Amino acid sequence: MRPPRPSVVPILALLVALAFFAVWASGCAPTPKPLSPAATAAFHATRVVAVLDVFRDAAIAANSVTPPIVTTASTREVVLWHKTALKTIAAVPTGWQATVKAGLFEFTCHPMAAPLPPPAPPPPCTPRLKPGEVEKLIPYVGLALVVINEVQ
Amino acid sequence: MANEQTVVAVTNAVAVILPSVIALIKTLAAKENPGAPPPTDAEVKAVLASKLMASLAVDDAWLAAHPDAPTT
Repeated sequence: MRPPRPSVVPILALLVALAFFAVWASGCAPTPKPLSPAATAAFHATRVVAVLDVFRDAAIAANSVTPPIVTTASTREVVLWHKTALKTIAAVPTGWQATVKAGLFEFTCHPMAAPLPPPAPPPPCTPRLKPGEVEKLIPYVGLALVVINEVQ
Repeated sequence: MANEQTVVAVTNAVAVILPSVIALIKTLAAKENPGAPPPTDAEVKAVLASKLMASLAVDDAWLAAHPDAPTT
């Protein structure tokens, strides 16, 4: 005579209980806390500082070659503007965009930095940089403007 | 007879223990290595402050190295 097989009901009940325990335990991990608005602005500003550094570094690099592609005077203007822009970002973490874009517009008259929206014609502009310098640096200005427009 | 009972008992024990072991491993792995934790507000602000200081230092270094550069 064969002995009766153990019932599967307690085993199934135990498995179900274990499954519930697994779900409960995995749900105990703390959920990530979202950043505050100030920290979010700081996060975006960090990206903008990095891309403004690219513009500044491009001007310095173009000035360091022989013969210089960008004059020392123009490079000095870029470096001084960059310094002012960074101080503006530090002082006004949530309201620096217009000031920085206006500065970039003065340097190269890049259409993306025009103060008016696209449907309106951009105002007449004479770039602070010389024509040959504008051609060399305007891609970096465009890059900076793309990032700035993205984080606005 | 005894062997059959042993096999049934071992099978049942494995059926009970194995899922719990897997669940325990998954839980411990999730808690020990949850991936890159999101930055806190203070960390994000500290990164910006550090980036600003480093970038301004580059500006100052270049300006110091070119003190005679004309302004126009």
